[in-house]
Amino acid sequence: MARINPTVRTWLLTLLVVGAVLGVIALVGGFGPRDTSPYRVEAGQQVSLTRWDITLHGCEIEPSEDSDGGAVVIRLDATNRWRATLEMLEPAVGVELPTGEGYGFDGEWYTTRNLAGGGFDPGFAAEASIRLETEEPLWGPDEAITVSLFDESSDDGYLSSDRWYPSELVAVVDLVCTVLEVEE
Amino acid sequence: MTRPGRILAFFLCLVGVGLVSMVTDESQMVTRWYAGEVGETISTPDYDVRVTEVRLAREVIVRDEPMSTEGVWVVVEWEAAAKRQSAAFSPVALVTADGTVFHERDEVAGLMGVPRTDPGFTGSGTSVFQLPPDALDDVELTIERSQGFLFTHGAGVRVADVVPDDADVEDSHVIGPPTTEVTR
Repeated sequence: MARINPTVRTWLLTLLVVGAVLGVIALVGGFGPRDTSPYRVEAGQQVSLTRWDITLHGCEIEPSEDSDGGAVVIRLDATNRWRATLEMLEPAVGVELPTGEGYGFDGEWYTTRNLAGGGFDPGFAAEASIRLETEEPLWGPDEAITVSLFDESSDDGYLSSDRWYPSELVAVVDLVCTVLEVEE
Repeated sequence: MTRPGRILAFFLCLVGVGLVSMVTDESQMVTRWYAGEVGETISTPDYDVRVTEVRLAREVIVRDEPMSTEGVWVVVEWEAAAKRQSAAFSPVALVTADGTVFHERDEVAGLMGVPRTDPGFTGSGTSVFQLPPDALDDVELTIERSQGFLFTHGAGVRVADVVPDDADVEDSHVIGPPTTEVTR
């Protein structure tokens, strides 16, 4: 029986172990999309986060005249529960479109707007909206956008004082958007 | 550079990084705070500030547009005179007794706030804050000069107990336009 070179044998064993570990991870679903079903809540239900109470109400799509895409406007109520005036909902809120595009932390930008104007003062409930733009072709009328709501943490100190990031998924809300008519 | 010199430079870098890492609150970036009272001219090396009037109102009118609140509007009229170079001021905030920070309302600041002021001129304007009615005791006004990055703020101004104990809450108050006048 032919002897295997020790170096080759070591490499083969290493590859075998790595392959086995990857196989186990794949079998338990480690490479698949995250199962968000335990986090799903209905629109209209208030969700309490680290710095916010948020209630999502619905969304509209304003089709673009210049592309196949358009603007998505999400309507919500937001109460700032933090100890300072806040300007935007990011990174507590992330949005994923049926096109696969992600908005929010580590994604594309979206715009937060307090419909009364200005920032969100501590303790005051405000009607608000999130507006984002896509140039991808719009999706079918039954498909939903996915809004994810996160607890947040901040990295105190260092050069980036008070930089916040999403620390834990709290809730996921599916919203089917109404497509608005384009005015001629 | 000699070896001791390199070691010294290394340790100085470590000390610098350590100092920066201790900055956990942006307010600590203000080099020095200068304190005073309503009606008093508070002098810093870069600018002078004087709070001229503080009012409370349930509604404020900005350029004929009424703004209402479920809380109370705190209307602070103040003026600033730059000394050595042009100065603009941000953030302008009220800090309540429990440490909660309410920034001036952006939608008013852009129209009626103290304008950027050049040396030899005094700019006057109004900052409006939205506060809960039960948070009006022992409120401190903080004004910082908006300039640049990290440690370059220079001087900040604090005005303690800015809301008078006997202040009446007006039903409606019209905000006057900002002004700039030559003072030197």
